[in-house]
Amino acid sequence: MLPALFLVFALQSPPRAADLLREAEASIQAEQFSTAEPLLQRAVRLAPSNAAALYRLGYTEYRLRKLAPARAHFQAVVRLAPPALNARYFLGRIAMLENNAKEAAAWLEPVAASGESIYDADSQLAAAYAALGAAPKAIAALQRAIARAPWDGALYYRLGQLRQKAGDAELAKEAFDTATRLNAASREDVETLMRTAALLGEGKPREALALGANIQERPDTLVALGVLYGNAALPAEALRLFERAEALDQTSFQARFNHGLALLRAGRASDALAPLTAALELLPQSQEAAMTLGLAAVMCRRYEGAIAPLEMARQRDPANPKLAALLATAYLRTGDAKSALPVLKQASESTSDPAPLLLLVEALNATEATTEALDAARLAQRRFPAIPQTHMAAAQQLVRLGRYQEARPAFEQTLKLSPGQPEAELGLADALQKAGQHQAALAHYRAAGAQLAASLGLARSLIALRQLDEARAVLEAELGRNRQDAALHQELSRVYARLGLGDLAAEQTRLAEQLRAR
Amino acid sequence: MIRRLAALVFAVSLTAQMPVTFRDVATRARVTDVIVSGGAVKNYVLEVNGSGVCWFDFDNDGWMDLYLVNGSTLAQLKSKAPARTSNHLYRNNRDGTFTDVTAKTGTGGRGWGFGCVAADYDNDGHTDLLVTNFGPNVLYRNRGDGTFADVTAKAGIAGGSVWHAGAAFADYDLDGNLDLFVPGYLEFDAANPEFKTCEYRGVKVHACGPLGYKGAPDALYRNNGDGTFTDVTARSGMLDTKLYFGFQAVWDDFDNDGWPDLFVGNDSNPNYFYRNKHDGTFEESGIAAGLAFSADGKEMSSMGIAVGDYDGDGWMDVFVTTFASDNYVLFHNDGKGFFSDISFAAGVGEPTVPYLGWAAFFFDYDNDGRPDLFCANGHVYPEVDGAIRETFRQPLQLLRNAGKGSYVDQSAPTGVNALKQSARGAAYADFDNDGDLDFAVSVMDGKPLLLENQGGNRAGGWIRLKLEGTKANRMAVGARVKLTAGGVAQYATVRAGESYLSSNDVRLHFGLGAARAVDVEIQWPGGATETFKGLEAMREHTIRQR
Repeated sequence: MLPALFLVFALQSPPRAADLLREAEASIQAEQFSTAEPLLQRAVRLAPSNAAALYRLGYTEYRLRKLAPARAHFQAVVRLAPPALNARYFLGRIAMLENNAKEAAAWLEPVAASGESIYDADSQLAAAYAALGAAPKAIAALQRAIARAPWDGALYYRLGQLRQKAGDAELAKEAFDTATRLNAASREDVETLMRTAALLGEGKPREALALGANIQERPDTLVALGVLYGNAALPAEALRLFERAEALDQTSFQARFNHGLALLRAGRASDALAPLTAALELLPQSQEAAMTLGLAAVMCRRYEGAIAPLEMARQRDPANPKLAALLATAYLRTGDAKSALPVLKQASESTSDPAPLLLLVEALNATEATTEALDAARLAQRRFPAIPQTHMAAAQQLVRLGRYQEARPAFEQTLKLSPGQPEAELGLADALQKAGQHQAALAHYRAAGAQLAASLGLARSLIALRQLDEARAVLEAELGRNRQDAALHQELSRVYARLGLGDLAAEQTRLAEQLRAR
Repeated sequence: MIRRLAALVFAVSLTAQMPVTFRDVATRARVTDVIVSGGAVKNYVLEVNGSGVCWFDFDNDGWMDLYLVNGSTLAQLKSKAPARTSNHLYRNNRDGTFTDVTAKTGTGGRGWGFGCVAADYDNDGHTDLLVTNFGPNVLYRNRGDGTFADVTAKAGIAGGSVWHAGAAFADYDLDGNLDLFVPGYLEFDAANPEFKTCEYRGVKVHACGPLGYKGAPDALYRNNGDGTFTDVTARSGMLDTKLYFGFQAVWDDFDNDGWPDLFVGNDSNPNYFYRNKHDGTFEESGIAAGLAFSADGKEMSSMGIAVGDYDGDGWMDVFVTTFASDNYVLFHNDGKGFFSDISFAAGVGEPTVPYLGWAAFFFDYDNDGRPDLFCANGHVYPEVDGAIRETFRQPLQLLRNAGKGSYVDQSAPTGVNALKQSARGAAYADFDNDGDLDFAVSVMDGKPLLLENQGGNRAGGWIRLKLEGTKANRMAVGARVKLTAGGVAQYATVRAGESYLSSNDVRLHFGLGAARAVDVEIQWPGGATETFKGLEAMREHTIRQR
């Protein structure tokens, strides 16, 4: 009797949370949310700290439009299991449904920033920004969304609307035209693109490529597929698609721009110039085309050609430090340091990127404002104390002004942050040498590595320390590598003379004079 | 007794702390004639190098007289009309004023003057005067009656139509007669000058040079002892085949072997160092000696040269002024005529970077027994004003020897940097014979400065030696003196021609600090050595070679 009773009792014992979760999951998959809800509620009562249960309950309630409890359960998930990106996503969605765009943006920003593919977070974030009137941010978010779902004409349509509102008529038209073309794509192509995206997201590139081979030869679908391949680190495949798209339609901005961009990413900056130039001609208002063309021109040292597109891009985004750095570089390399100055001064106000300040030092030096250059270098040091280049810039500036003593701590700080950095070792060695601290200089000259300046400096300090044989060895070894350097012969002449080897000294003097006369 | 001793100690310590300053007394002294150097707009290199200053006692009254060389203008040169500018000889009235005796003495010069050197080349006891010019030089023989005779032709040192720069006399062959070295700067066609435009730090300028011009040859003249000289340049090994742009020469015994060697500062070229081989010839070894280039192995725009033993080790060191944004260079004599550039370690590098230097000399302005440094500064391009940080008019600089081989910039505390000008030649002398060293500065396109030392004679003790050779040359040029006082040794050489286009007071002035007992050892040119113990401080001693 007892075993039978036990059996009946066992059959009737309450379910565990895991079992309830499993059962609820099946209902969620079948989209039977009303069935899933009570199961999940029981699971949560049994295991109130179970984030998976709380998340599923929140999701179920969201789907049932029970927004208040859904919010509470998602917030619990965020507390219990950060970063809880999925939960944040839905909190953002809930906030948008409640017309609270500011809160929505706050939830969605970290989701978008994570770089992970969480639903359509970028698209949702774009909507929140648009509602807040932050058009540039909305556009940037939409562009990220487009990169993830390049087949989605609706995204282009929304982009067009934003462009139109911003007064960028040409860009708006381009977006609307793209939307129209994508919307005209066949259902099969859209499904191919979506499925390809999914396969790539699952880490199945071979299957994705096989599937993508079936896509129709239409410029927009080829571009969309190319974008997917490019984002999935399949650059060669992406490039081929863009080439095909461009060949089909030379008036397609997307084809030409993406072709140029792919070439640039492939390290073929000079090849990228033609398609990017064409893209900018097709759409002069395009910030991306202007900036990318400018970047390509700078990368292949065609600085003159970089200035116009970069100026165009900068007009739209004057606070962009990277853009300012590129434009300033182009000006500096074309000998127009004066034009670089206002660009850099404005960009230097950005506290996120030291590049403009460091270039400002260069530009100020080029315009002979060496004291102001030192001020800029000092400012860079204060603003970016963890970046070794800022200390190096200050050190080099002090050296330029002959202030070797003051330069020493800056070189030392550079080496602290970037141990063994050859130029800093050389700079510190020189500063020590100038101060007459030759013994201390030796180690740093040796640490500066196999470079002519280090050998010369090492030799000079050895001479000062009367270690003539060692100085001789250093110089003779370096001459084996740099026979045409007059300074080496000069120093060797000094060494030979001090060693009483007059004839050898005279010969080195003769060689030095010969080289100088060239 | 104890109270008096305490008072003395107190007085000594008090005076040791008294600041030394300089005041420009040129107007009061009536040394006010403007120094011309081309036009106000500097279109040619000829117009920007200024001219020199010479202190010498032309009338043997024991007071230093002053000679200021004057330039000219291109228009004047081309016109061949009588000169409108003149060099000036100012006789010291011994009361802080001077009288212009140029006309009376016949020392007005001719053409476009650059440098001067005062030396008794004929050993008659009267100091003569060489003026180097753009064009033929002029040698004035001091007749001893307050007048000079132009003996250039007889002497044979005119040197032709090239641009001559900072000459120097010394007895290089130890025959008792002063020989002469004249550096050649460059060839310049004054009749048809090429109007150039070049860029200096982004500023368009016109007085471009010396690069782009052909250099002028240097010349060594051996004194024949009869009022004539022989050009022995080639024979002596001083043939300037590379035609470097020679600016200033200074003789001294750099390797302490008893024979004068020669350092020649070349503008934008490696400097020359001619080591005396004791047989009438020299070996050029600037590179091997470490004097040709700065520490970084680069040529310098060597303008002015100061020679002195700044660290009291018995070896003569060399200081060279250079161009703007380039530090002036102090070469330490490591012994035996091998040198090392120790500019920054010595503290003279950093303060001099912003300036463009010309005249320079070692002199103990505060009488503490350590040679200090003076630099006359001024740019060559007026166009820089307002365009870049450098300025055409620049302050003078005074770097105080703080001991242990280091210098401290005292330009502000001494007041020498109060005025700004484009200075060129300068030379020191105790012109008021009050026991401290003053100096005169030639200012391009301006009135000269006469900086009177105020307080140097109270800051420390001093002694002055006027040497007279008998077997050696009469002026004792080349004599090396070792002075010991208070346990510390100082070394000095009698020289004729140094700084920039200038000559300093030939009397050797030593600051003594608190010491008062002085021993002196003199090594006369030719090798004889004499020692004098217990010389009295705070006065001048005339010492005649036995």
